[in-house]
Amino acid sequence: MIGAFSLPGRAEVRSAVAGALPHGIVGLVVAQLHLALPSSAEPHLALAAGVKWAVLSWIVSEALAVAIMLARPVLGPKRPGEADAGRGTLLRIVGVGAIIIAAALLRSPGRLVLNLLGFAMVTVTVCWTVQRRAGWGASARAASIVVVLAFFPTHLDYPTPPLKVRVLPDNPFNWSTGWPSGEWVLRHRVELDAPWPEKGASITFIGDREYIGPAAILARVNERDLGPMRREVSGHAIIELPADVARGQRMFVIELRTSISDPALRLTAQRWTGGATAGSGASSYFDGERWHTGTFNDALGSPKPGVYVMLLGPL
Amino acid sequence: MREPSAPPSQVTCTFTLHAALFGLVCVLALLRILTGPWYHTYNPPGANLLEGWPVSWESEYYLIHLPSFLGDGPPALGLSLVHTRTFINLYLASMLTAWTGSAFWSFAAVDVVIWFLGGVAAFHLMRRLGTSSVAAALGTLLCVSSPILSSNMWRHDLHAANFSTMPLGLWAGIALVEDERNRGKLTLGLGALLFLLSVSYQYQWILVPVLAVLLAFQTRFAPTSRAGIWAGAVVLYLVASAIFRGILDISGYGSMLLGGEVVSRPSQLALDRLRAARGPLDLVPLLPVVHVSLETMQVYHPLVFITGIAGMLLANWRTRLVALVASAVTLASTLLYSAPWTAMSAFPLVYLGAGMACEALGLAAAHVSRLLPIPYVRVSPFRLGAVVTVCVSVLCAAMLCVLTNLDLAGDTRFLMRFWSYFGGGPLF
Repeated sequence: MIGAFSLPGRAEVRSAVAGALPHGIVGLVVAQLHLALPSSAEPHLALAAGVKWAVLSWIVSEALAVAIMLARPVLGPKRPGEADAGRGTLLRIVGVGAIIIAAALLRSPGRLVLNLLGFAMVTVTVCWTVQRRAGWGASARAASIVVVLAFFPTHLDYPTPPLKVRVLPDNPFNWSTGWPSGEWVLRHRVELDAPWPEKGASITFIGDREYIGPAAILARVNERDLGPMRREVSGHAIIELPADVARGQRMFVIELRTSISDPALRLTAQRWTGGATAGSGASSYFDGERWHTGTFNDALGSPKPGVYVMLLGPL
Repeated sequence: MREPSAPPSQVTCTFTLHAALFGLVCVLALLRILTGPWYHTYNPPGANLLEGWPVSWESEYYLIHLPSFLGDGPPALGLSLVHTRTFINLYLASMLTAWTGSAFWSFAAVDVVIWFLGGVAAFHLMRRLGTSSVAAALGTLLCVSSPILSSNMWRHDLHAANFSTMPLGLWAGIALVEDERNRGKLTLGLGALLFLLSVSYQYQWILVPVLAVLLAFQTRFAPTSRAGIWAGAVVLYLVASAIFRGILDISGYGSMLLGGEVVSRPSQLALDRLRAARGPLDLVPLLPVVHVSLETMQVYHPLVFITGIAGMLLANWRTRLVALVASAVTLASTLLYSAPWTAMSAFPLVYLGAGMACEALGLAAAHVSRLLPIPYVRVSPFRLGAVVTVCVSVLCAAMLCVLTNLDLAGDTRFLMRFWSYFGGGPLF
């Protein structure tokens, strides 16, 4: 028994300490940097960041070592039994890894099952791939990376999913646009390859949020007033074009005004214009003095190139 | 054919190739967040923001399960097929979210890394299927820059990672079949592979007949053994799937389905079609027909597809047969579920053909260059021929790449045509 679990020699301990030292230094530097930041001077946060970065540093160095082993030429075993060297280490690492992950997640059985299933699938895939190219030793090192990666999240509790939103005021990709004053007009042009068929059409502008205020969006399509648009709970504004208005049209020019100015009444706009039938000039706005191409982000008070997010479809 | 071992002098070359591949994948992905991700350009109403960055509304299916992997609460939502078919990717993304604190960048990292690994697997797959290093490198270039992978980046529904499992699965399948001598281990390995493919996407259905072809060429086993290995692997896969489902049910993740069956089960789709048929004539539309073939050609880009088919004619018999079987299953799948990515399911093999065709054009150009007297060039005809071969081959492959990546230069026509095969295409 003693032989199976023999203590490491001095050289091995020295080698292990020397290997861990750079990662410890990385952790210390990160912790010191955290303490130096005015925003996060909490010592326990600095310590947590230091430990995390030290472990990350170890993961990166191990991953590089495995990558180098994978890139080395495949050589056959020099001595009988050498091909299997490292297999035991791999099995021990995977077994111990599974046990510590399970022990850490006993407080949440459902989570424990999902994590063990995921751990098993990833470990099998990684270890088989690495082993067949670089041998059991490299496979054991790859397994140790997976164990550390999988074990770290077990101390966290992530109770709710991250929040998604349609727009953010100062976002470079999706923002909202409205009518800063009564004379403001938003215009969008849709150009078709073929005349619109013998049926009506539906135009939907995507609102940025729910709206239950007093203002209505008044639609004018191809110089024809169609009255207020229907509002959905989601904030979308919809107008239906009768067949006699839509039939045979190759272009729809849609102009939107508001019955009364309300800053809460807003539509979604997007940066990318490549899908718009009329390209980057599809959307424009009138600010009471002249027309401008693109959209106006009134939350920031600046024009932004982009398009209003809308859809034209059959009734 | 076992892939030849690289001599030490080629280690640097391999590293360089892989580093270049990783760089290319990152550049293709990151450039599109500036010029416009395909999905967001095609369908702005489906775009949302996560941590201020663009994602598709479908990312909801996966984000809601981060607390299942990382939260201590009791199971609140079931894992339906839409989740289990990408279980590994979802697990990796949740693990990274815990490390990075950012769900957006964790999902993106999973997509990018598996996209890259798919490229590496494509290269080694092509080498094992008998192509030269040059043709394999060109085929891999086309593979990683293909619309099936670019189109789904920044959607955060893990599709870029999902589709990359096709080259990964094909490579693993051929590596197992060629290298594993023990029948039991081979059966176990192939069964595990089919199961892992079913929890990283749904390409196990394509691999099942492909494995039969690959095994048929392994004469070291008797025909009955080969059939036994294949059948055993399929049975193992079915048993493993049932056990997996059972474990999820027992642990509380089976009964409460959110969004129900937002993805279709291939077997159910086929059964529904067959049940709806009232006579033999009703089954005719189930046969691969012209519109599906045209769709397939369009989503690759006609020139890329034709080049791929032409190049496949230069491949060996086994490769041609593998491509034929994979394409037949792809056509049948596209009939059942018409989507651009379904039509491209056999993409590593089509790009293998394209890589071979590009190399053949390079060799032809080199042959012509040897015949033509070129003044002022003091190199041997042999060296000149090699330079011409590489230059013309790379140029041809680069041209094919450009055809499907013109959106980076502002020309979105191919992008819009590609996505139009998924539910028509919105007008705005």
